Amino acid sequence: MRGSSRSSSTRSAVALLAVCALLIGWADERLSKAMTWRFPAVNELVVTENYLTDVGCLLIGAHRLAADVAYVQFLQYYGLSEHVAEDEAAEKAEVGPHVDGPPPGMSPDEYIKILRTHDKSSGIYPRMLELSTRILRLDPFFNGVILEAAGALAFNQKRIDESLGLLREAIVRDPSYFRYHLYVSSILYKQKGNDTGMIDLLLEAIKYPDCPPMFEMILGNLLKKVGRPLDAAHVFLHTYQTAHKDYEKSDALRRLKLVCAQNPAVARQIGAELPAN
Amino acid sequence: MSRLRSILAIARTTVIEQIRNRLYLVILFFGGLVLVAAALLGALAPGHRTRVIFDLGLVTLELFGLATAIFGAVSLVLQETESKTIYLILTRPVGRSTYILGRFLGLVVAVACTMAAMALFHVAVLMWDMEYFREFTAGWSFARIYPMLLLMSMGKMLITAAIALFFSLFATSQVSALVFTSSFWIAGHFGPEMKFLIDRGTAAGPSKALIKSVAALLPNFQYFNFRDMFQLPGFSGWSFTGTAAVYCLGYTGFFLVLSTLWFSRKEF
Repeated sequence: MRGSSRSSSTRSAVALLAVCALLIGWADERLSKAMTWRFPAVNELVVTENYLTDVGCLLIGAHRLAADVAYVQFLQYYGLSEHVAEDEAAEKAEVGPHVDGPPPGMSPDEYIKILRTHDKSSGIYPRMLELSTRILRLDPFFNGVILEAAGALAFNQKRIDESLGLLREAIVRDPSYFRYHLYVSSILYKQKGNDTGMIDLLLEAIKYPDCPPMFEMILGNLLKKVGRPLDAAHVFLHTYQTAHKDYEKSDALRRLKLVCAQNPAVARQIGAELPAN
Repeated sequence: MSRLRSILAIARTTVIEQIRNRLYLVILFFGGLVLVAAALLGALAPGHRTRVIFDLGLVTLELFGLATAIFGAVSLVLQETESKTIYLILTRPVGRSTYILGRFLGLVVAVACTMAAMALFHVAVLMWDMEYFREFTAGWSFARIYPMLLLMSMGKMLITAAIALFFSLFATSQVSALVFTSSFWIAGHFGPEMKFLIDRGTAAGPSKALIKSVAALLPNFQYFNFRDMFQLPGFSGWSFTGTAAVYCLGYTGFFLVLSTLWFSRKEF
């Protein structure tokens, strides 16, 4: 009696197992068709000293988090200390008669330009492409950061080939993000020295909220260069109001004040919007 | 009806046991601590602060939920067997399958409570700075997506808890059951890689058959990994949730039936 009840319970358990297996098979078939996996495989990751962190994150299925950590490390490599040094130096230059300010006869604008060229010469950050490709391969949809890195490579480091290479890979991995094409075009215009073409594209690019503030700075400088100080002031004001990083805010404010100081007409028009500090 | 009542009674006791368990409280405490640390890490990425808190918070939630589920499932039956208190229940008119189902249900409710508590804390940390939060959620509905991401993480928990329970029944120690379950968890995140090896890989003959059978046995946790995919272009999460739920129930049911089958034949 006990044996027959046990065999009947075994039979119903086997039937349940079969039903579960069928359900799994049906759902697996549908899900694998509907969800195409779009993240690069583990063998495509960039091997750096943080490779174990990257793989560790992927082991628990955290591509976005791995890219976030890689971005923080990218910022630690490129960014803060140099920008702070640059800000301090530029502020000293702007303030005027300082011990290590601009030498007599040199305008603050020229002095800032020299400092910038000195601080950000190519070769200071030889691993920028490697570290930005690392982010791209961990999360190809972290678009804002890819644009930031590509812009830094092209405009700050003057490493246009590397920047275009990064954007080319980004386009292959996320073709739907059309702004990559916009940035490629503006970099190509820069390469050819076509300022007007570049301005038009950058004016289009800054309409989007994820446009890195660095592009706005570049656009502002270009507008100033081609004799459109009012437009430049508006761009700097916008950067000041929307940027998150303190050094970007202070840089935008400094440039805005400089434009206003050099163009009284602009100062009059934008005066009400000019921040008090 | 009386069977359902027994299941609910066992589940209730399990929830109380889990919540009184020191390990459970420690896990919850550390989960909260990591969520606070997420805010600090977020400060290091000025332009993407909220994204970092969001991502790290969701991973923390899932990992600590997983820890609760695995430790809970592994100790549920093993501890009672070792301390012989299991006789007190099984000598009553309670079926072994009833016991397993009740225990499992109680564990799932306890894990859901942990995750819900951490999720509330996570949302509070995210909304701490509303300006950043609004900017981060521009273009997608947080109220619609966040519960979906939690549900998907919960789906992973269900499958993992069922697997842990199954391993705990024939494992000789808690450690071996923990190792087996964690291996399943990790391997489950390599579903797409295994599919790639099967579809386009150069493996042929026995090695291909081996990969196929391993892939069929392992749950593909990437189907539940909406927290990585929810912002991908063209991704419509809610349309997959129904099928993902069937997949989850299929796997959970499969391992629960196996556990009951094994447990009903176990000699004490």
